Amino acid sequence: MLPRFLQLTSILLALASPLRAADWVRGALTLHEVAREVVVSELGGSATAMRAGDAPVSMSALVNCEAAHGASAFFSASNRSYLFFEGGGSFALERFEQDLPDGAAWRATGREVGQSRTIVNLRSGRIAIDARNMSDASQYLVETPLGRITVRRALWQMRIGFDPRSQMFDFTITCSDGRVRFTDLQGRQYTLRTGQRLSGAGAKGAPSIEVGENTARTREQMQQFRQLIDTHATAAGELEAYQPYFRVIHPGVEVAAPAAMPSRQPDSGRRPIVIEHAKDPAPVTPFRGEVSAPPVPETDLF
Amino acid sequence: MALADAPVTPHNDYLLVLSQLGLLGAALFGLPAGYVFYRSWSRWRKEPYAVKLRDSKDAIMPPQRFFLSLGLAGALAFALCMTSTFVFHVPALTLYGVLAFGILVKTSFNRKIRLPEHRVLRAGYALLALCAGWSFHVWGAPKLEAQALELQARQKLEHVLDLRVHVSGNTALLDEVILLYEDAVLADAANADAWLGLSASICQLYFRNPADFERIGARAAAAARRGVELSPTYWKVWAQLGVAQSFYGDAAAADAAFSKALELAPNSSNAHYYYAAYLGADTDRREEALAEVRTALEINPRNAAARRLQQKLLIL
Repeated sequence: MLPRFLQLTSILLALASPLRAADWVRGALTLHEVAREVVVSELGGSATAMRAGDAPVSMSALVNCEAAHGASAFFSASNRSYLFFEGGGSFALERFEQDLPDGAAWRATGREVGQSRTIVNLRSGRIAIDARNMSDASQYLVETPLGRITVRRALWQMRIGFDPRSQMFDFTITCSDGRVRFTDLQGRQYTLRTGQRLSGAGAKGAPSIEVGENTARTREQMQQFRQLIDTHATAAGELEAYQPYFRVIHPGVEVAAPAAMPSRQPDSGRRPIVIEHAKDPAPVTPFRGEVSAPPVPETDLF
Repeated sequence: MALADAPVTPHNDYLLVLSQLGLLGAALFGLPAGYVFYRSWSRWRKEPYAVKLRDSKDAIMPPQRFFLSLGLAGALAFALCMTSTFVFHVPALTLYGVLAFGILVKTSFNRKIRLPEHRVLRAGYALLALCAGWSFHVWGAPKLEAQALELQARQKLEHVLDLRVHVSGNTALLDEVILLYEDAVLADAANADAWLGLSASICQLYFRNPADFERIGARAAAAARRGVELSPTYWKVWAQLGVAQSFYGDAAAADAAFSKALELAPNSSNAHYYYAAYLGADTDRREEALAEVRTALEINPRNAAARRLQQKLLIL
């Protein structure tokens, strides 16, 4: 009896594995509130200017968002996280995959069920993220020009200011709840705990950094963010708003569900290996003349 | 291919010429120069240190000795620099060497052959010079243009990648880089760096539409393969071929290309990094990947891509 039971269990597990892999989806976002005007463009899509009257609106997760000074946007994501962005500057959600949420489990708890992987790229501006309701197995990375931030169930914010004339950065990371780890471009790591603040200024490669306590201003900003979360918590908890924008991902390949994507042969069996391009090291002896870098307006179009 | 990109360089122009041209080439290069030096030195020693002016008590250095001193000092300084770096291969610096050497030739040799000065012959000289100039323009201009375009495209590509615009930003910037590379290969189809850059920039299109990886990978691999055909001993084109094959999803071909790149450039940080990035995708070979990325960082601790890869591998 026991061997037959084990055999049956192993067959069921083997059958369940591919189903599990197919359950991964690209997540979705809902834009709940806009102040002034923000420009949102989905990956590979055209840019759309959003104003206060346009919200709430749901969309596929891979978006780029730009906002001028004073403009802001508040999003909720299908992994139970919240994101607030204030310009001037832009951020992009480069990757957002999660287990396909189950309706019953979603409604039973206000926390994330399953796991998700999120990569946000912040160029400049202020971003506040609430990842406290995400599961322990989930990963949340924020790439910035100054380094990488790893978040696990934290409420925190970051502000990046950039002066194109002097090419100097000025940034602050504030942790209001949980733990945030910042790794700079040299590989040095800083861990911020509740109530701590990291501020830095200087050139991209080697800014001077100091860690201190949160200021009254940042506490006030986080309070405003909490109020936004409370205001939109009910709307953010509606799975139906996200469901039309989920896109099923097979291992290594994403299959478009609602939108049209170029056709490919899913049976080719090939899986791409993504390798980041590495810059050439600085030459010991100059060999050819160097042309100047592209002008700031051209490079700052991100 | 830039000297700075070569994995092994002697940092010595004499050894470089010897390795590139062989003993005969080095002799053809060195003997005339040595003879000019010898003649100049002999003449400089024969010249008096000072001569008295006819109607004055003062003495001055003879102009011949002055110019010989100037030429010898300049040429010797240049020759000394050639022992420790590539000044001979930097065009702007070579001009200084040519200037000093020209002074030596002019002051050490007396012109014995006089060119005929007939009107027809003068026109012939002008025509000859015009033909020589035109030939150089026809042969050299596309190559120089291709180099300039490739350099411009490379710097723009690095800037785009640095700011991560290729991932989620203005798509026109990457398109512009690809166009620049395409212009470079149109101007000079024998420029391996341009084919390499074209392949690298095409690979970045993957982030725009990951589902289209096969078409993008095949296109990038074709460009990289062209670079390999042009310069089969250039490690960077092999590494880029490996990257393109990785994006295409052909792991076996990528492995072979990365191995070849490492064989050609065992001391290159980026060669180790690319191989580590490839190995890192395979869960069973993650330890190998970590060892490779550690080697990459030992060679160049400022390799930011390798640093990021190491962090990623350690997290995984």
